[in-house]
Amino acid sequence: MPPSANANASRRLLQELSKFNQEDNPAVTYLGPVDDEDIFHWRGGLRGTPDSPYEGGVWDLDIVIPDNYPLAPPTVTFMTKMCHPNVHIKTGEICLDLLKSAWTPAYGISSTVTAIQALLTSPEPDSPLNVDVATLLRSGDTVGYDSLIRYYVWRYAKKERNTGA
Amino acid sequence: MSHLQAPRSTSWRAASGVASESETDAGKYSDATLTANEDSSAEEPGLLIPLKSQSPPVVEDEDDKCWICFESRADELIESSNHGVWRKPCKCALTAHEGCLLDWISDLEKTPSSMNKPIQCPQCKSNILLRQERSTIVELGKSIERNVRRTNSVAIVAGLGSAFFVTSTVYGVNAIYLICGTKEANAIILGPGGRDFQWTWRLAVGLPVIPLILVVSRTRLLDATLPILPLIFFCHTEPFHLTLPPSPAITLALLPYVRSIYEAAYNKFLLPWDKKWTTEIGPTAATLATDDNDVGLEIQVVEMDENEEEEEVANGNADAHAPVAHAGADAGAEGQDAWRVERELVLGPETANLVVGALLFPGVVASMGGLLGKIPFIRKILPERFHRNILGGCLFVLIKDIFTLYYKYKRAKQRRSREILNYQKRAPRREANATTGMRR
Repeated sequence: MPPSANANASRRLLQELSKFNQEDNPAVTYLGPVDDEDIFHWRGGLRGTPDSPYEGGVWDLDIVIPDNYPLAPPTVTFMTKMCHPNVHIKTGEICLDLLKSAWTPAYGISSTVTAIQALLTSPEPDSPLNVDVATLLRSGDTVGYDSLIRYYVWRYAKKERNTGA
Repeated sequence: MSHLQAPRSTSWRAASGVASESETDAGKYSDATLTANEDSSAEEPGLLIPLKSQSPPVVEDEDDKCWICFESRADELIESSNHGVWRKPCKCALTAHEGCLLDWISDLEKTPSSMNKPIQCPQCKSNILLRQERSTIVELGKSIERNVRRTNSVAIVAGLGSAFFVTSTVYGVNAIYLICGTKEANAIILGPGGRDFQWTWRLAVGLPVIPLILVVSRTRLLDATLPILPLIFFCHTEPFHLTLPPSPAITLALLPYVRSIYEAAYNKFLLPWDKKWTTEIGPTAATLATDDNDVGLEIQVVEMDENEEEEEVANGNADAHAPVAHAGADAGAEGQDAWRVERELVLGPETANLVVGALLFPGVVASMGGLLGKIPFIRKILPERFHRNILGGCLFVLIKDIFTLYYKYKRAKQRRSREILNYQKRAPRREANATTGMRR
């Protein structure tokens, strides 16, 4: 059973990869396996939502895909430091129901990154992984919230820095 | 290739042209399966069990894509897949291979929470109908599983309940033997002759209630009803006549009143001091008492001791004889706490103290009674173990209260005597260091 599940997952990942290369996803700067040997480990670049404090930032995402992939969700973590109520500042863990209970095989890797981009502008401060930012947001200090995010974007996620590095 | 596909596409278009009709057909179809498998479908709306040959025709399009493996019909023309036939389980745009759908569904069923939920299309949330062989064994097993799950909680509650009941009863019996001594306890539990044991409602209710009442009597919940309880339970068995020492029944009936009197006296004479010292000990206390107050306090304490002793003696004399299911309970009622505020039932370490204290009380009472029994004089006046126990319990409460008060007083006094020491030069310390150094 595992080998066939593995084969199914690889086939579907290849499908997704070729589809991603054909169609552009505005939320994604790059997406694909880290190396040709292992199709179950991807990296991707998440573009900050335009017209938001996250605009202009690019975050590297680490995407680990399970063997029973379309049935189970991929594990996505931020590799670039991300300041967001639902992202752990140190581990980069993301709290998003799509990556856990709400996952269905109808989503793909690319659409998952799109969903993460949508999470940037619609955070859930009631289930925070970053309590400090969530508190700012809940107390209604949008100015503080926005400028803190902008600082982190400038400090860690500027595109120039990433490409330069 | 395209000319091969053409007929399929037209057939699909024809089908979509009469979409409403085919939908109603599908409705009839599922209705038919509903009646064919009434039992299973009624319980699991998502699972229907028609025969494979009856499946409605699947409309085909080259652009159809399996939403699980992401492969399209066009891909299959290039490379055949083993995912089975195409299915379109709901009215929205999602199509899939049967094999992919079945894998997905069995994966969903692995999580126990979703086990009884109907399987839904992730897009339109309409139920996905599924057919499988009908098997009596599987149905039976499923219903057993369901029922076991349902009855488990009931069984657990019932088991815990009966365990609690048995424990309480055993505790009650032990308390009776501790308080009344073997002879009296036998008479109470086994009946007057000790032979015709009958499990009466009084024993069945009274025994397990003992620990409960012991605990509750430490709170103020039953203050109003406790004095009446012993009367209800026991007093109508014997005619009311006063003896010296009084019978256990009368003793027990009197104890709640004695307790109320004691408490009233305590509240009147000692509570103000108790409160004062307590607040003084407390973190916000910043009061300095005068010497006058100190003297006053001591006088009060002495006075109070006398009062209490009189009461206790009265109790001891009033001791009487009889039923026991309440012996423990009322003895517990005796053990009131020093300050009324402490008798509020609050969850926390205090509650644990309260419960443990209440349940240990019969043991304490019995050992006090045993100590008293060592004194020949008391043995002469109170030949029955029961009376010595009751007296011992009263004494214990009294001593405990006095000690608690005295302790508070001492602590308050200690607090008042505090002063800050001036900083001293390090000289002595250096000497100490030097000596240790020399030792090395």
